[in-house]
Amino acid sequence: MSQPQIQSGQSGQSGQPMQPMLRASLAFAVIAALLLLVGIGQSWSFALAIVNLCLISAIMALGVNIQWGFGGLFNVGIMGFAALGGVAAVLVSKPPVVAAWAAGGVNLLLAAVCCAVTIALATLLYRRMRKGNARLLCMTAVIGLGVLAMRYFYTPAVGAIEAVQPSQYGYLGGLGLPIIFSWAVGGLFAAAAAWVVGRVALGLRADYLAIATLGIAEIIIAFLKNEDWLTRGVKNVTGLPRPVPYEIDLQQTPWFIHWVQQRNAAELSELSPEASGEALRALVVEASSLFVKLCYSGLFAAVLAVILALSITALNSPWGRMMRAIRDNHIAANCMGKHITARHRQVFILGSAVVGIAGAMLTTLDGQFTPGTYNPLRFTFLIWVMVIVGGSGNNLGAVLGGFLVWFVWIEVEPAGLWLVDNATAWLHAQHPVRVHLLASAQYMRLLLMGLVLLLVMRFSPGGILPEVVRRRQAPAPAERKPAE
Amino acid sequence: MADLLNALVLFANFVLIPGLSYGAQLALGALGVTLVYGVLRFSNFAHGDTMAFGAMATILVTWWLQARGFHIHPLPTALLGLPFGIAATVLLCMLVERTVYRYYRHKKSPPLVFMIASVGVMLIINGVVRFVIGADDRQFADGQRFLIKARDFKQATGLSEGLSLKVSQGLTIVIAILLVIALFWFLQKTRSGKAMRAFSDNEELALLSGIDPLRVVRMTWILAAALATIAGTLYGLDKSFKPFTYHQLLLPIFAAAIVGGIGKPHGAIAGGFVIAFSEVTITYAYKKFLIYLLPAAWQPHGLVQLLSTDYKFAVSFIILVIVLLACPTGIFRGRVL
Amino acid sequence: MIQVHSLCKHFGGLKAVHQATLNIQRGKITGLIGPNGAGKTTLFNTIAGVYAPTGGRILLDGEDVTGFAPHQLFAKGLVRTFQIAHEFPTLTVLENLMMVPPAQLGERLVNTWLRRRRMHKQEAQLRRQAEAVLEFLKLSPLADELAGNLSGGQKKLLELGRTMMTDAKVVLLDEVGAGVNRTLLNDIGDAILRLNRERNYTFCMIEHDMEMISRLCDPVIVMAEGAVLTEGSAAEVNANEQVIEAYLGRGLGIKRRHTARVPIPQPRPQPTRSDASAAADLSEVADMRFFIGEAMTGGYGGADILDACTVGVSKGEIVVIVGPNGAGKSTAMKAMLGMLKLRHGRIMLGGVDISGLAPQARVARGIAFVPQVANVFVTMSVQENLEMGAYLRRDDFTATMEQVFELFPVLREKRRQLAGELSGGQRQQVAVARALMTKPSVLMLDEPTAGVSPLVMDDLFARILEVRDSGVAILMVEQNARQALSIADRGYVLVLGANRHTDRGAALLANPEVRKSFLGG
Repeated sequence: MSQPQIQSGQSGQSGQPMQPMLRASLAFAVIAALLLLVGIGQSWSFALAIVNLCLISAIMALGVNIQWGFGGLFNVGIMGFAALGGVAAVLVSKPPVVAAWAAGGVNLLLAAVCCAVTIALATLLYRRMRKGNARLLCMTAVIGLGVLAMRYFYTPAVGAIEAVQPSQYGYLGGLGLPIIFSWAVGGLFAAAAAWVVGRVALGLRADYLAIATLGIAEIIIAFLKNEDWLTRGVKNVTGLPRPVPYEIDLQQTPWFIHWVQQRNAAELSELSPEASGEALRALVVEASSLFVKLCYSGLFAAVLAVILALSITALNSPWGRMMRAIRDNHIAANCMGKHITARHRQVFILGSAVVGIAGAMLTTLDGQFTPGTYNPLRFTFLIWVMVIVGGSGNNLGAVLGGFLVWFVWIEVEPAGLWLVDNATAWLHAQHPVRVHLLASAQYMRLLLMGLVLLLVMRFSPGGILPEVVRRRQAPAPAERKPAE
Repeated sequence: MADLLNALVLFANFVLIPGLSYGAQLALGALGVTLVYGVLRFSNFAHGDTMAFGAMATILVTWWLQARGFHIHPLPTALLGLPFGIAATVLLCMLVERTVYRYYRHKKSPPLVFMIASVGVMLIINGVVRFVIGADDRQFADGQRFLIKARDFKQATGLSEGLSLKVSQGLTIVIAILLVIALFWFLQKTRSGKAMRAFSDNEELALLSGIDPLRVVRMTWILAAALATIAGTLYGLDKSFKPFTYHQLLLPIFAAAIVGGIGKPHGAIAGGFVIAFSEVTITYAYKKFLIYLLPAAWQPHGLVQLLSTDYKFAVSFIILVIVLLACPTGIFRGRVL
Repeated sequence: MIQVHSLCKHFGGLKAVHQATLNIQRGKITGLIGPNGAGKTTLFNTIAGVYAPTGGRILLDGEDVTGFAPHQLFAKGLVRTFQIAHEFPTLTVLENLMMVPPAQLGERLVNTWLRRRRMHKQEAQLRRQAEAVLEFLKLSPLADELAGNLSGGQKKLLELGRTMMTDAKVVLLDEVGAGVNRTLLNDIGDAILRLNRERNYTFCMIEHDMEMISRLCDPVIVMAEGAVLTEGSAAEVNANEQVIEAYLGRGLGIKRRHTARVPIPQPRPQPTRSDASAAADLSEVADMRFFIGEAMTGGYGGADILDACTVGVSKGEIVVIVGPNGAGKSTAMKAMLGMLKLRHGRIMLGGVDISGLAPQARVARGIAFVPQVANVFVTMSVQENLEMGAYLRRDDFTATMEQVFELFPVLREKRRQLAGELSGGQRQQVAVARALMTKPSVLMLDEPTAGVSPLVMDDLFARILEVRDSGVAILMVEQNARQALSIADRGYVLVLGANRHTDRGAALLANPEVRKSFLGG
């Protein structure tokens, strides 16, 4: 995997117009201003909703940046890893369905044992026997028999499990633990999947890794959609427990009502008692929704901060230097004693794990797991746009990309509607062109994303925050002079 | 004897014919991918959406023709719209080539950069298609529906299983065969086709022989656009048109191109059929088929389906992985990516 | 230190290294020289683990390390540099050095988070070490520059510097001198000597510059045709007739026995010319030559490879460019074809200045070029190859194809076969035939006999003579100088990108100075 750098020999000679830190601060200030504008102009609740998804997007973009920016690995299966995070949320937080376990648990476990035994036997044969037709034959036989045995237990088990109150359960349920644990579990699931993909595809060249990850993501989604005993499939799992309070509960909690009353004491005192009671109720409802969103924001921001801090320290360490060297020229790095495959596998697993964590967080925020909504455009390619636009190889850049691109993604739709509405105002309200354009305005955003990606690649190949050149902290002025 | 015939008819009806037409569609798609790879040396992620664009352009013209009352009954009107669709797609590809890829080729960027640029192009085309025609299913098939109706077949043969052949399936197979013959004639016999092969084989030497690279690149995009449009339209006629389905076709198309040996046109065709038949045979429920063939005592209870239809992507992927591990250059020794 | 036992590395049919046995002694600077294509770099790559050997064994300090991966060999103290600098372009010079030491604490991801203090301590130490190395290499002012922005020579120094960041037992240097100017070359030489004396490094270096070899290396190993030819001190090797023979290539005499059937190519007798015209023939008057590159100066990247070099050829004449490795022979030819941008000088064709034309435009004007490698379309039939050669011609070219088939009868038989399925010699014929399809006035050949058997070589030269007799100007770069000069009307000897000798082919061959210059210097 040679030179992922889109830019060639950037910074250095061209001279940096701005200090990287200043540039980053400015960029983030712009984002903050935009969000404030939304808060004031549209509503605070809406602004916070955007912020929450911005935070999750930023984490996903960080994960992809670990793979691409650090390691030069082109992964287009982000959707699959995010979905694995999502299923972790279900499996951790939902209470177990005892009846379903009783109905099919034993058979399912037996099927799992069959599966494990088959894999173990096949691996043993692969290692012990000499390469040739005999080995191929034996392995085919073992795998074929294994699949038959597995299906012998699996089919009745699935039938039994899915028959348990299909409208409500029809699946095994989860562990019934607090959903916040699922974030770590989601990371583990994604890491495990990444390990498997890495075994197969990491030795191959970039195009193959891309196509392999594309495939694995589709398979993961197909699995989650169809294995109803595990995920209820397209029937979705709704009502996931929350890591933060519910609005309804808050609205009944005395301290919260009291707090809202105090905050708005001045306005409320001017109203008559009945009117003030009415107004307070409305205020509490609004405040509770904001409060819940803020709680989410706090949690997500904490996770983002931890992952960001870890990535930044890692990238600034000898480890990061080694990764960048491998990315620049893996043959030379190999001859300098660095183990390329191991490092590639490491960043591939770590990056996927981060995406998995973000996936679990997303499902937590949604409160439901809906396998049907995973779409590669939204979950894979949009994240790619974030990384490239933000600045690959720069952690802050990836975070910035996550914020900016998600903001644009959300705000383009109303903006597009407004634009189309005004541009076609001269047409009759029921004019078919106008109606069609208004209905299609939502698709403008894909177009815009593609355009942004191409424009950034062409005119600012390092992204908004390009990779930083790591010079010594306090170089003596004399030493900074480039020699002739 | 009748049982055996019934089983065969059943098999032909549910595996052979759908496999043939799906395989032809994939092969046409994979041909486009393989041509672009052979000459421009990158995996074009936008190909699935280019197919969608071509089909969309064809559909718009078809609707217009249908509204004007143009028909070529019993054939679908879409055949009349096809040339216009091809023209529109060619224009699109030229535009993209001019505004996006030429710059990177000039800079001699690595293939990965082209690939990411093609992701950008994919997003844009995807957006355009949905913007123009919407994200929902669109019907545009008209004309006669069946060449052979199941009921007629049963009456004619006296078998209990029917064989049906849709016009769209027949058309797909016929057009694919004609197109492949034409393409191979072009590549093997014409001066331009040979120049394309020469360029794909050895770019430096082609330049030294005076072959104009711009002309070869232009030719490649024209062919890829035409193949994409035809494949897209045939797929739409056979199933239905939905932008997202086309986007998802990318995986089996890539798989077909790689399995056959990327950069090799005949490999793409073989790959298309390998992938299509594996998908169909592995996801087909053999219950009825076996009931005809096996003695009563052995008759199966379940569906005897190796994998549920929803896993058809898994099939193309697994075949891809097996081929990559066993012979990385594909069946026909294409380039190692 | 390193013992190599009958090592083989074959690429398909090509035996790049075949039965090479050598010994790199501890504490010495061993030089590895040999003509182009002798398998030196392949030998290095095989020892360093980039290629898995086809056969034979490699021992490092008595331990069998055959088939080890590069990073495993590095751990055992074997470090190598690359002929074309393999720097890490987006890392600074300092970082390029600091990444080298193995088993750094901070290379374990966990440590970067949990053992930061110790990591920083180690980093500070590494930085001091790297700064000392930069001081040693006189690169200190560039410490914070991106390595990608360095000049070619500075990158070479950096490569050397990387080997100093670890306790290397043995360092393989692949042409550290290539593309480096004289002053920097001396610096590199000094650095190598100091490392050898002060740190007791063992070196093995591939080098074309005989001056550098004589200064640094003892012993010198000479490779030819994939195997070791001889070994000795620089002076011994220089005086060894066998070595000079290897550089000059096998002469006609050797093969006359094998090639009884093939008509022996003879240089065209020139009895009719007066002495005066012969003198004019040898002088470089621009309007005398049909195709001429005058005072060409230029190169790739920063360094000039050509230094006011002049090469010209008249119609119906074979001109051969010979010279030591790295003299700029192929570069001169590429400059004349327009594949290299010149800083000075001009290219004239039939009295017209074509310096501004792109290669394709020059092809259209009747210049045909046969590259050294990848010179046929392997996936196309022989006939299609020829058709592609005639791509620019809009007229009927069947007559030309007929002539070409007359010239190469084998190709007529095999015209339906894919060029990739032909033998090496036949491919070479296809390559020349393809070039002839444009009916060129100038035919340029870049080492047409590289890697083909003697029999095929004679045959090919015979064909080339026939082409000349049809009035085509032929310009040829040839490694096998003896053979090429024996059929040439004139020859140029280039050294370091400049004209050294120009004379009739036979006269050059007889000139002892020319023979010496082949070993470089």
